[in-house]
Amino acid sequence: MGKWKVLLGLVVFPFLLAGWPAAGQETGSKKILVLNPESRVLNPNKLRNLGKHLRFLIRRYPSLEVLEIPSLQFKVMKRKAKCRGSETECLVSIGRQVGVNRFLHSEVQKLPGRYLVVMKLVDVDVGRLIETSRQRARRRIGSLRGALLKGWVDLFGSLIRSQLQVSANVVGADVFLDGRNIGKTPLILTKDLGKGTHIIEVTHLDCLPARQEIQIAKGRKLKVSVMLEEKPTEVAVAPQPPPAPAEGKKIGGKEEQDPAELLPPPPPSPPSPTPVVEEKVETPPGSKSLPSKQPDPRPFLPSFETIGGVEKKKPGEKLRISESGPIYKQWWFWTAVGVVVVGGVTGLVVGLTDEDEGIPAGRGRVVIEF
Amino acid sequence: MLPRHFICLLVIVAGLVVLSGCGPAPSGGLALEVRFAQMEQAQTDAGGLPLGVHSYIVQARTGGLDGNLVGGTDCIGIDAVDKKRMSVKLDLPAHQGVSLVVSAYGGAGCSGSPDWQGLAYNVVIQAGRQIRVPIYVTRRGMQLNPTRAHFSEPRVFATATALDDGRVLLAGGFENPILQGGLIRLQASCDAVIYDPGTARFSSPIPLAAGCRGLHRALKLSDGRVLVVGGTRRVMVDFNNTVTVRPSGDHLVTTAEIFDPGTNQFSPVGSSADIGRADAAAVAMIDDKVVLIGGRTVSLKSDTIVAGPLGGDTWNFSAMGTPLLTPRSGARATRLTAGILVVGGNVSGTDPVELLDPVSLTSAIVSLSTTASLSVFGHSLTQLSGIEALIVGGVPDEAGALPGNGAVSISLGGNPPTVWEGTLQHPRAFHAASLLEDGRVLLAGGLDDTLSARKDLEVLVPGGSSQVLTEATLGTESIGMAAARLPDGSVLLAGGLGLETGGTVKLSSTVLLLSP
Repeated sequence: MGKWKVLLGLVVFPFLLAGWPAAGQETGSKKILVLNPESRVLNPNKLRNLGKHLRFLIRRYPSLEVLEIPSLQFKVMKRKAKCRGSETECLVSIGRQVGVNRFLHSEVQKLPGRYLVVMKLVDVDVGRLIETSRQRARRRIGSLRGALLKGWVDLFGSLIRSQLQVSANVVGADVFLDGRNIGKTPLILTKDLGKGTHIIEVTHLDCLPARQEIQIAKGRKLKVSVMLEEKPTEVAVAPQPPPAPAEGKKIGGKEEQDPAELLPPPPPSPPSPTPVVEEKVETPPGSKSLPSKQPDPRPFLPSFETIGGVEKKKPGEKLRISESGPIYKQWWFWTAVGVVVVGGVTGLVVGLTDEDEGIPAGRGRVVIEF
Repeated sequence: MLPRHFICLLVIVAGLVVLSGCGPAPSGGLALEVRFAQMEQAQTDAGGLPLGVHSYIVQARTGGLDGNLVGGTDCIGIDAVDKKRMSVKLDLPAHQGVSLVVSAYGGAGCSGSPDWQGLAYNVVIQAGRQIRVPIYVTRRGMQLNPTRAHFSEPRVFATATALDDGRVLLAGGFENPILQGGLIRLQASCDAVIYDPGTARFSSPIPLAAGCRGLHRALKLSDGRVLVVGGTRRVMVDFNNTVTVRPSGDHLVTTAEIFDPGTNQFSPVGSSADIGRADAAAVAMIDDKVVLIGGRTVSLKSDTIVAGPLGGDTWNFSAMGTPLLTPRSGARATRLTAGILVVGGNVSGTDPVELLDPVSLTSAIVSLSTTASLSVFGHSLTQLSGIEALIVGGVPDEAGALPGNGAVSISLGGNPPTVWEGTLQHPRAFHAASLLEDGRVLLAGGLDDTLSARKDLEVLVPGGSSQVLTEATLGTESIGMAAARLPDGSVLLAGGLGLETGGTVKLSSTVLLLSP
């Protein structure tokens, strides 16, 4: 009987797993519809340019999934919904048809000698207007972009500028930034970390800790890949707290934006479509083998060399710069998938085998989980 | 490419699990050895009792903790890899409303007072059925315990309301700080989360039905639902040069909504310009009539009393004909036997304490023989009994004033009212306060007279002295935390605001539990 349950679990589990990404999406990011601004006074090319810029800004937020529909389709939907302008009910109706959680509508109007950028953020789920922002601008594209940026910040809060991604050969290793635990690997931290030098430490119970100084500049995206080495001897099961880093300075020392900094970011350089500079720090080929039996117990402090203005580790160190590919080609992705699969199957087997068996008559069973 | 990789991996892993993970057990079933993460504390995603626990016992009682013992385990000794560190089975007679108590010990043999404890209430035992009950144990002895997760968005000035089923509703508040003209502008949060004390985790965000709001009021009604009313969508704060918490009068929320713990949803239940007020004092009466007192309206301070009697699914709020004797904003109120006691939130020099008649809601001045200034804001008002309330800390409502360390209890048991005056170890304003089961009052964090966020906690004995808890330390974001007492006597402290150099602030998404 028990083996049948296991086999049933193995059949059912892939289907459960197939539904997992959708479930994760539901609790994670929100879909936001961001269209090109509407205007009777600007030409379509300029509006497309502004819309593209706006979507680029919003894609920096990991909690938001940006969607767009062609302007023509939007006009058709407006006509079908019998919208006269950009009333909230109309935007909610269109947002529901598209299947988004939020709708950011923008419009450029002409004032005497100036332009007015009107932005509306609508909560499609609840069916209400969250906020309206009005920003003045000049006709030139830079000024209009700046007004969109200011409007977005006014509606949504501070602009995300720095992003730190930390991955390791061990999923679930603790990551410390300047002595403060910021999560477990793989980790994406999107916030303004403050310009300057920071210290990353990655620790795991079964591995030697890794420590690294990083330089963070505004608008930069830093990827750090860490190859943790196993501890040389087998670790006893005795209660050992994970190695705590030294108390350091606080992170996010300047999370809010100075109004002076709400200016549009510099235009992207030609090879890269985004002003967010990616610095990738990763393990070199061939360095994934286990360490020798007498590893160096000292905290490792790699040296740097500069490539293209980005500091990079030399060969032989644990943190290095390299190219990154699609997510499914990353080694940690399959490690994470493996962990999820094993955990799911295990949980399913445990859950199926102990249900309602051997309960004495007239009694109920309580499984207390700690 | 991706599906092929995925399917191959799935098949390989599944095969390995079947071939090597499972084998025939002596009893004929399947034996599966699962090794769980080794962590010193249970307060991790891995779960399990803290590794410091070496023995524990589970007791099941009918009704509350003082009910009859209907079952339980013997003392269970565990080592680091014992599966009973993660869960334990218990067969009990069928019964409605059983309380399960887990007492855990650092030593073997379950002797002495428990070092950790966890509770589950109202567990229904059905014959022939198995149920799973998560219990999160916390270290006892006035210790701070982390929860297993943070809530979704950092926030400050949220409301924390203990629900009848033991969960806590954390609603609204402010997030997204932006520096604007030397002040910090905070935008109201548009959702709520529910803390589950069994799992020490939070629900996914639940959208507020009637809009974003902070500095609102959340009041639990007699049927267990929670009415959320008033507030504003923006507030400006400054703790650098002066103590400023200025709700925006242009973004007031004029709606009320109700949270149903059965559906975990909010529903709009009324709208009125009269409830468009932030930082008002509020109480729910025995008949579920909700009374809002003063607050920030289009005026900086309001003298209006607004009452909302329940009318089916819609609440009808309207201003009462008789106003307060003094306009107030940031006042605190509590319902005593003699009426609604309203303290502070008014300008200095006028009568700081008023008492509203519980039926007519007409106000009368309460004359007190005390030297302490009660014309304060950012203070706490804690009901000690049906006739007594305690006022702690706050900032005198005058230019350039700093937080104080006064503590005053008012007893309306006699005529004239009796007053006790004491002092805290440290000045505090915008701190969290909660009455503990033993009658002491917990005071956590807040802003001190150096305009710094205090990291410590004090326990005040009304009529006695106050002591700092030396072994419990908060984070730096300790201003404007929300507090609620859980059924096991622990106090939940959520969110908060910390001060950074350069005039900026930092919000917290951390939730801590102080366990008695």
